[in-house]
Amino acid sequence: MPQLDPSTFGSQLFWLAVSFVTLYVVLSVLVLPRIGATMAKRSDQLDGDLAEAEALRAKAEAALEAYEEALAQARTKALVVAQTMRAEVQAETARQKAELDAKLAEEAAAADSRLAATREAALAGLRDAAKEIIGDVMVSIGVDQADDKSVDAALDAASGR
Amino acid sequence: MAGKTTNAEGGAGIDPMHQFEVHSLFDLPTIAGIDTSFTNSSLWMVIAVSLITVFMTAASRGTSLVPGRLQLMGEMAYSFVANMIKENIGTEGMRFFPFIFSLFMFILFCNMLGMLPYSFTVTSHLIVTFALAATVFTLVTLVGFARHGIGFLKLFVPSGIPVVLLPLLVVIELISYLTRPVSLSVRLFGNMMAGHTMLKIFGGFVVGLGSAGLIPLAIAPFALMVAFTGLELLIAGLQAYVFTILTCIYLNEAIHMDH
Repeated sequence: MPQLDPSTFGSQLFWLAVSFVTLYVVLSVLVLPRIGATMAKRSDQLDGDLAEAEALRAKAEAALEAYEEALAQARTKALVVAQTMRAEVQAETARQKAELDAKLAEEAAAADSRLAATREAALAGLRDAAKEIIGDVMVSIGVDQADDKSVDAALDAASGR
Repeated sequence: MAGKTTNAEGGAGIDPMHQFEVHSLFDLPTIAGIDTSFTNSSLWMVIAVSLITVFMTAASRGTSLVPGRLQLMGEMAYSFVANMIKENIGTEGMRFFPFIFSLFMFILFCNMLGMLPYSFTVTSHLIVTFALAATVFTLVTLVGFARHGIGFLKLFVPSGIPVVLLPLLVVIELISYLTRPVSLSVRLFGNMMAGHTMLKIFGGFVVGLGSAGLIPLAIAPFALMVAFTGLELLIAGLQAYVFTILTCIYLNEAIHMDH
């Protein structure tokens, strides 16, 4: 087994030490710090970007909240305005209706009184006409100059008054 | 340095252990009693380190926020090891990140490069894996004593145990602690060596049967070899991961001392 030949040990150990120490020095001085720095820079950048994105997201959420709040406020205000308007309109309508009712009642009363006056007049005319007819009839049947009072009484009885 | 080359060539006589032989490419002087010759093992260590350096340097050149392909691969390797440390040790374990990352990449690339034909698997040598495991063991022990002082020895004294059993358990805990570098290194070495030996043996069957004119019979070991190659790739990645995560677990114990 060549591995157990001690005559090669010295050379192997010597060159192992030389090559491994060289490798260690090159890596620890030149290579590894640079790779480490690059990776640290990247991770910092990523962390920064993530933090920024988080901040922007929070901002956007705050804006959304404010918008929703404003929307809710506007809705409440609109509701209040609508209710006020409706109440105003209702009051106005009621007022106008009452005014109109009063006017109509007044007019109806006036018309009634006019109607009653007219009827009265008509009835009075009728009575005069009846009295005339009765006078004519009495003249034609030979009763001269009928008694006004008895005619009135008879007419009153006939008209049921 | 010269390994045995008997039976290395030709037909069914392929030596499955030949691939693990270390031979010198450039003879260099012995410094302070250590042979510094540049061997095939050294070559593949240097190749692994060069590839990792080129790959990671190219990956770290891109600093854009949206990474390109290469940059993404480098960052994936980075965060893979970083997450392993954070999950097993916590953020204070990031002090050891460069070491653990180097360890993971070195073992991963050595294992993977060993899958190339005619290459050499650095991690299939016990001395290499043991050196890595011993480094981890030393680091863990030093960190433990640095953080807790002499109190680090409480690691070997389990709580809520009858006093009678305590000496026995302390000995067991101590042995399990001291054998960690052995288990850590043998696990990696054994996996790498066994897999490559098996691939070589099946490859030898294919070549042997094929050159003997029994091509239909060679299909079965060939199919097995394809499947084992996939399995070996998985093991190459997995063992690098296992070595690294055990390092994390040991470090966590030394730092937090909680069983």
